[in-house]
Amino acid sequence: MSMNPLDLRGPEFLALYVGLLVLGAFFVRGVRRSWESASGPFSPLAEDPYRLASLRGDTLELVQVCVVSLTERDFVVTIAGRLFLKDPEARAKVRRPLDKAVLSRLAFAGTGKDLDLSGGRTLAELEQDGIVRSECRAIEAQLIADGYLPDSACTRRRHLLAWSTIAVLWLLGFTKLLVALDRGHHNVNLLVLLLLATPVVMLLLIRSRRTASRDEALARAQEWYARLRDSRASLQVGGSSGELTCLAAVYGTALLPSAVAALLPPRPRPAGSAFSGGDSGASDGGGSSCSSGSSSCGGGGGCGGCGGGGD
Amino acid sequence: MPHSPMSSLTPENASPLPPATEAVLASFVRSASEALREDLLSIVLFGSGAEGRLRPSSDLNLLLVLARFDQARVDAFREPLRLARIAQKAAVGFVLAAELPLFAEAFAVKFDDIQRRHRILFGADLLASLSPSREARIQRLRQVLLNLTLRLRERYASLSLRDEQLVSVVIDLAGPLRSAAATLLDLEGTPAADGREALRQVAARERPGSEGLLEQVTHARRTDSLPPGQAGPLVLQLLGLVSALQARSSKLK
Repeated sequence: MSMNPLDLRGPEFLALYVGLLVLGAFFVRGVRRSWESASGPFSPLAEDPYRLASLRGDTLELVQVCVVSLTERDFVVTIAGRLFLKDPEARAKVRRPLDKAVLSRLAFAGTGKDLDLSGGRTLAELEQDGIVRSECRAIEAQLIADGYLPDSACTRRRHLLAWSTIAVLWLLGFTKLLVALDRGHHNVNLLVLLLLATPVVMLLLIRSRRTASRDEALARAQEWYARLRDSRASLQVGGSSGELTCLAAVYGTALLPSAVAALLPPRPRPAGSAFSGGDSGASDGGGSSCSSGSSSCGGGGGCGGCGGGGD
Repeated sequence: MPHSPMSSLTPENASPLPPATEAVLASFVRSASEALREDLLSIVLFGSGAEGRLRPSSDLNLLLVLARFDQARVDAFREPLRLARIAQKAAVGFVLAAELPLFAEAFAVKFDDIQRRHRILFGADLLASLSPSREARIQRLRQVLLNLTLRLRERYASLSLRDEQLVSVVIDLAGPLRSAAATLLDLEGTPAADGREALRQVAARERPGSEGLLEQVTHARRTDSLPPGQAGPLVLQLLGLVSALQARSSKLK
């Protein structure tokens, strides 16, 4: 019996190809992880909550965390789903550029008879704001520089790896296809389908905004903040402690107590807002609960912003 | 009268802390030593964390002994300190080495407790050579017990119809009550092995047949709850126990 894979019968070759495809996927994933693993120790105690939020989620997540921080510090208030300044001098009291950027886009709602609700911003408006986005990108750029998010060199390496694997698989697959056609076999639809699926699988594997070091860092942060997560039911706005901010940054706003989430502007529905640059599925941990159907997002309660804590 | 034996709990004779807590402590120590440099003389973990008996609601009590309090260096330590507090409920005290004798005298009951249950995370054990005077310990014990009495009365008067809020009163009382009992027995010349045992001995003598009292306290600490209707009577029983301790402390010379 010949050991030449090109001599295998159709179903046997398809099984072999699928096996090699799976092996190739593990290979790409494994090599990627070894390339992108953290080179040094990661200490969540040395990390700003905004960096952790950016590591975990997209721009909207980061803006949400910022809003939680500003709400926790009593600088902003949500009225009818829109965000207003509660303290007109808040901007002078914050240190982080993102805090300053968000506060600069908000108007003071006034008080009593002078209440003016025309200048409020929704989360979606803040997320789309150029100045706010620029500050979010600055945080993301630092994470890229630190190796937690993929830079262009990393992306090139990933493509080289994926396309090399695709080339090997295609070489085998297309050769078999030619051999089959040459031998008068025309029932090659499944093989063609597998050949087309090969780059899709590989490119999906390298498409992620994640890196292994990012996953390791986030997992460690989530482990370190587990006590905060476990005691979250007792957290309240007004303590200025930064606990809500860290909870939202590390696990996502979905884990905020409902009484706190109700004080935050609703997260826009995914269809109605443009998510930031990264690929979809960028947030995890407690996650952006709001994008998954049943939550109270969009309507009000369940998803709110988060915040960065202490200046 | 000899003070009870003071020993630093080491990781070998203390129960292990959860890995995440140990990791945060290690990072905290690293950050503190980097930021405070030679000003940092010692870091002491004390209380339930030192025994490895941290409950979900427990603080991670830390004492930093410094040569001096330098603004720039402390500023550099601000974020790790804040994040350790958030991540693991780290409650941190800063004391200068020169203040330690005063600290021991002024907070003698707490100091006794720290000496009974502590682990040195960094530097030397600067507490071992200190011993508050008997007078200071008696004075402070009476003060602590009176304070507990006043607080319990107020809490009961304010919250006796709110069981769920009284539970936290019971939980918060347990630590100070154990420390006070341990110091009392120590001053009476019959030191107990630890605060828990001291409170058990005192309760058995002062409230015979009330073994369930401490079990209820333990239950409250473990579960953060008590069966309906039990919190109020329990607070009153504890108030009686504190009064008994007060009476005994008043006889100390």
